[in-house]
Amino acid sequence: MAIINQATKELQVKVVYYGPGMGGKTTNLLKVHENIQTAQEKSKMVSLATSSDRTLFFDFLPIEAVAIKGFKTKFQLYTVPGQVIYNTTRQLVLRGVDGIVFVADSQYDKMSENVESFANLEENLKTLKLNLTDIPYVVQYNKRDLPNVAPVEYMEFLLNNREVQVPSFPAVASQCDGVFETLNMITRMLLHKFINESKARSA
Amino acid sequence: MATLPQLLEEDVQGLDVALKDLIGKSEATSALVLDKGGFVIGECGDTRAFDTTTLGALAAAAYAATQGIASLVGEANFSSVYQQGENYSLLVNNVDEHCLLVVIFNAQISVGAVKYYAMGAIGQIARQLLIARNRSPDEGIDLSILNLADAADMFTKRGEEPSATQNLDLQPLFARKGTQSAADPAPEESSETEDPVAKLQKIKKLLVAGLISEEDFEFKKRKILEAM
Repeated sequence: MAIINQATKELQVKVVYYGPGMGGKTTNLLKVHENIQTAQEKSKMVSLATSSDRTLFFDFLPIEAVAIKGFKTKFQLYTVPGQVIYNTTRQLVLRGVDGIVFVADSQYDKMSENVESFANLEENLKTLKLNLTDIPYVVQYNKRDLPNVAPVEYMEFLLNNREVQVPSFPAVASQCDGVFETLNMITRMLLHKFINESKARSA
Repeated sequence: MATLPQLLEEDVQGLDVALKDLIGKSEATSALVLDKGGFVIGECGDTRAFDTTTLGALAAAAYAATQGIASLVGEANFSSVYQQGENYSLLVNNVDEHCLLVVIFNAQISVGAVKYYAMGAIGQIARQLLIARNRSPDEGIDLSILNLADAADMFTKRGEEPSATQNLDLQPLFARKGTQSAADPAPEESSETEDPVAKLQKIKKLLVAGLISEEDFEFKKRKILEAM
């Protein structure tokens, strides 16, 4: 849940990139870090990874938004380790989550892993007493440049077939295609949610 | 996870008093109050030397990991984590269900003294946070004053001009199946606006290609027909 600090006019929001192992979650963060335009000094990206470059605990990248009047909005971007064995770690990282980006691997042979990871996300949220219907999330179909990719419609059917369909983006994270579109959409959805909640409260 | 909904001036001042008091008595370098999700709620002392945002995220994660270890060794809770360094040491203490206190101190200072003074600070912080939590949400800040429609895309790639007001209409971003939202950023072609016959043909193709099961096909077909 976001922290709103009225004294310092700050809003702090946590976004978690979730998805199967080797799907491109860390690459998304790396590309945001490499390519983001910032007025102030760029924050460091922290990667807690194994020697084989697999995320062990999480990657962490704090970024600040400049476009919201009168409010400093800090987004903290996290990734989770995708491998099945790291489930406890995923639960830890999900703690206090405000928004989720589900990064799916578009290759045909990764479909079962995508579906499994999505189901695992729902399960882990349940253990934190959260529900995907209450949390803004977007889906990214990554690795669209590879030859053996499944059609977007098919992936939509597998991963974005709930009562409410969420925004989804095709992406090639390694080339930064779709990375900022995804990020901008989840951050915008989160702000909409906070503003609507605030309006509902003051109504 | 419920946490602090809003912090007002008085809360921040209350935390500040507790942290300053702790630093004054223990001679620690700096102290932070963290949300267990990893956000920095309050900080005091010489924090310029440290990237407190990242430090907060890592300390909260490290503390959470020790809770997992605690349950594995049959311990209900490890209430504090102490990390000893050559120059600086770090003590992470549980404040309440949602918050942590982090104290960074010179390695020559006794951890016992820091722990002793931290106990007092924890009580003060917990009381202030309880006040913040119990406050009526109506007294908080009204975020509806923020006007997103005036804003450009929040993040832009280097070398690109910020795109003004793109996709920022204040319409609901979620589109219910069978309807179309103006703000719906569906990729490439929008399947929502497609003719139902074309949709049915598409799912039939998926069925024939063995990409979906008969059961999936029937489910999707029913949805398309219901939406007509």
